[in-house]
Amino acid sequence: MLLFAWGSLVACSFAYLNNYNQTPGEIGSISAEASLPLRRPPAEKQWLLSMGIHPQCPCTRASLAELERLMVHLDRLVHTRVYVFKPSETDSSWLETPLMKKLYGVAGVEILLDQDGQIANQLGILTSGGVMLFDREGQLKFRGGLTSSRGHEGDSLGTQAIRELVYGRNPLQHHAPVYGCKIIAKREPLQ
Amino acid sequence: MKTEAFRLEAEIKESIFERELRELQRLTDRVFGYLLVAQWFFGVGCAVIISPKTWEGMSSTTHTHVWAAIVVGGALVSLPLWLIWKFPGEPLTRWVVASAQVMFSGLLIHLMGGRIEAHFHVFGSLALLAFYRDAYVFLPAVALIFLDHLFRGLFWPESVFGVFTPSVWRAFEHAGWVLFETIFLLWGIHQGREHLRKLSQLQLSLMKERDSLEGRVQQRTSEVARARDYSEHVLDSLDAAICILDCEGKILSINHAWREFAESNGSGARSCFEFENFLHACDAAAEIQGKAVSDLAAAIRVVIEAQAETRVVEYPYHSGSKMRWFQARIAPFVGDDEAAVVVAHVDVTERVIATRSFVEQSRRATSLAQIIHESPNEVYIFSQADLRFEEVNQGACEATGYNRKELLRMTPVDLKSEFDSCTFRQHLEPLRQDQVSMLEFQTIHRRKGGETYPVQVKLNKSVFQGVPVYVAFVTDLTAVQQLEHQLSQAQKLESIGQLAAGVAHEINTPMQFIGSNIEFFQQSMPQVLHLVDQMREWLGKEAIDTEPESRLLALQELLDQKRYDFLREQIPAAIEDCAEGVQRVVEIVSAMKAFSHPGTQDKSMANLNEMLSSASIVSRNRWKFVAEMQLELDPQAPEVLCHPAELNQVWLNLIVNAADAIAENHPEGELGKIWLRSYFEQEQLVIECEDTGGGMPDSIVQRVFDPFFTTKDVGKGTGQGLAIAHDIVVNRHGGTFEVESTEGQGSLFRVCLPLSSDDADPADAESLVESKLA
Repeated sequence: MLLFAWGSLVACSFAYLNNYNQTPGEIGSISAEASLPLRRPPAEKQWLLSMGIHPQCPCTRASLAELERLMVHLDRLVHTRVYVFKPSETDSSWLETPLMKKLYGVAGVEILLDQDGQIANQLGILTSGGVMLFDREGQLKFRGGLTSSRGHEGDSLGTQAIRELVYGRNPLQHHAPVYGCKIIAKREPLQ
Repeated sequence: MKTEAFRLEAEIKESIFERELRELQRLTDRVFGYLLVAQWFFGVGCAVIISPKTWEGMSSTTHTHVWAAIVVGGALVSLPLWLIWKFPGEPLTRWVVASAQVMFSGLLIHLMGGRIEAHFHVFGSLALLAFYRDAYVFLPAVALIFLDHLFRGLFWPESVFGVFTPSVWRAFEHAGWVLFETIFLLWGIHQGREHLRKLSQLQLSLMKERDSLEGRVQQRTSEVARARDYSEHVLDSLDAAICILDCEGKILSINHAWREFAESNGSGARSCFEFENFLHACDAAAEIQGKAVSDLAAAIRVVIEAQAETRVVEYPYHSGSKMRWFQARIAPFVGDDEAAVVVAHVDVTERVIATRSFVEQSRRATSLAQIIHESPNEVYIFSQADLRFEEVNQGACEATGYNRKELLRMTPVDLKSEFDSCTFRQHLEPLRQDQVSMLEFQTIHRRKGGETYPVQVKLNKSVFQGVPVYVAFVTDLTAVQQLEHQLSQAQKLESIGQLAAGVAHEINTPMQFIGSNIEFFQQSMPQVLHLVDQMREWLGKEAIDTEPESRLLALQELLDQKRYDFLREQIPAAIEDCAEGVQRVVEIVSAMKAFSHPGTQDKSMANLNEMLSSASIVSRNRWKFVAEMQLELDPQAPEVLCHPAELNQVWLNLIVNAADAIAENHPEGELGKIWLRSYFEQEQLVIECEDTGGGMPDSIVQRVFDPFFTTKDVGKGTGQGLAIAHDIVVNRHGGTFEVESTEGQGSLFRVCLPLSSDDADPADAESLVESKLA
């Protein structure tokens, strides 16, 4: 009986934890205000992969790890921009986080500060770790996250889809759940 | 038996294995207990460090992983810790621990962001579970891993594989790697268990060896301890009081006996313990105890200065009112630089006293030996083996006329004419066989000149200078027998004296009527003579001339005148009476003469019936007033070779005693009865004297023959009568003397005499009498 109770407690706990980890964040849509330069890759690259992160979000570390793995294979074709959310009222210490150190270590990534999350908001990246993949014409080909659960490294639908797209194949899905902290508290209308 | 031993050994080995395995599993339980707690804290730490908060813009809250680390981690460790605490080593405990451990892997993988490195925790955990040396512990662990992957692969694939449509084999792939490791771990467990079994075997061997070794060690330890105890206590166990002195005389060590010796000697005790100077103590004690103690100190100094190897000093010591003697043995102490001399004291007081006593006893013994040697009584010591004299005293030499040297070449047989060597040995046989402790007999010794003398011999066995010997104490009976004879005679005269009045009376009666008859004769004889004279005258010439008628008338007248008819009738009767009276007097006088006769040394043939008759006559006056005497004498009884005078005394004693017994116990006027019997039986002549007196109790019967024992009033008896009678019958005639008495009825004294007393052995007769009396 005690064993059963203990097993049940542990099972429920794990179920809750799994459920938490598997609960995706919100994915927004691209605002009309999002300019083309925000959506087109540089000329030498065929794809533009934009990611929005919250520099304090611990879950995004897994997303960066997956991004780093993607970059190993797709750096030649894909230009990657990471928009780092920075509220106006914060100073530079806001960016002094392990996540940023990790980000700085990822090669071939263009890091841009996203003041008050405006760009992420325009791109509809509401959850830290969320990515948008645009083709040469600035067409959105994929949106979602790179992890299979919250803060969990490993294969995921997002990385699989992006790899398929970049290699010219048809992915099963053009979107994937994104797991991470909310970059901004609520959707703010684009100016 | 051997199979049983193997089975028992296998059981012990399995028991050791199980015990060791269980101990190992308990240890592993404890390790996992610490590990689980550590993992819990580690998980919480990871959560706090890696994902402390979850953010929403500028705001943040505690990350769910932190709570999960605390709550889920706590839940995971709770039950295992309780089981480890309560049931360490139990299978359920390790199964729960295994489950918790693999679930911790899942938790840590979650908390560490699913890092591939975190997955190694699973393999590490499995490896740790192998510490249990229990294959079954992998069952829950592997099952959980496999089922988790299978379940989530089937129903929630993206949560574990990150894709929606993973191959089902991926679950098996993941589980396969786990199984891959598990197989090796199982092999490792098997190896570990085998190793543990070998260790158990080794431990069993070690235990056996240890038991054996421990036994030997214990035995050896015990022996060493015992040897140490012996060496420590050997001095204490000695009776001798021992102290060890250095060259200055300081006491270095003492034993228990010395301590008691010092304590018992009072004032000087403090000076006789360790670290005191014994020589100074001796010097101080010499003032009180005298020169002997100072001699002891001097002897010790001499030994210390190596002037002597060992000295022995014996000295007296005044302890209170007692005088004690000690023997001090002073010997140099070898083998130690500090110790110089050993002084061992032994209390020899008892020995000294014993020696003095021995000397005193020796002196007494010497004196006693001298007295015995110079004793006028003869003492002979002769060998049991060859009967040769080993030692004789002066008394023996003087009595026999031989000198000591001559006697030491002789044997007792040479002195005893009636013995030869064979008969003498037969005579000694009862003593030799310890049937009697002493042999006593009378015999005749022959002096050097051939003269013989009666002796009383008392013989006993002894040892003289290691030689078994007989010791003979010989008493010359010449004087004794003379005295006895005189005493017997006196007693006889006493008896006669006692009978004298009666005898006189007996003589007086016939003498009275003899006298009366003589007086009658005196009166009648003149008439008879006158008558005769007248008749002679009438027969003369002148009377013839007278007328016959006138003569006849005259004669008739004369006869009438002289009462001739009366005289004619009375005178023969008177003469007959006189003759009878004289005969009676003669008889009495003869009897008295016979009784009063001192007798001779030689025996003679005698008719006992006549003797008995005489005795009855002589004693008539003693019994005729109290009893009737009935003589039942066997006329065919033969004559006997005897001492008649002595036997007369015996019969007289018996009759007088019977009369006295009847007189004491019969009422006045009533006559008792005395029987005197003689008859011949079994080559013996038996004489019985029976009375109807009061008889005697056994206590008196036992003593009737004791000298000077009497139940008569003072003055009536000397107590010698029966004693002498016994001596006469037994010792002088080799007969037996028996008494049968029934108290209240009467007594019977029975004398048995051999027809020829020379054939009888007086000693045998005596022992026979004694045995009958006993």
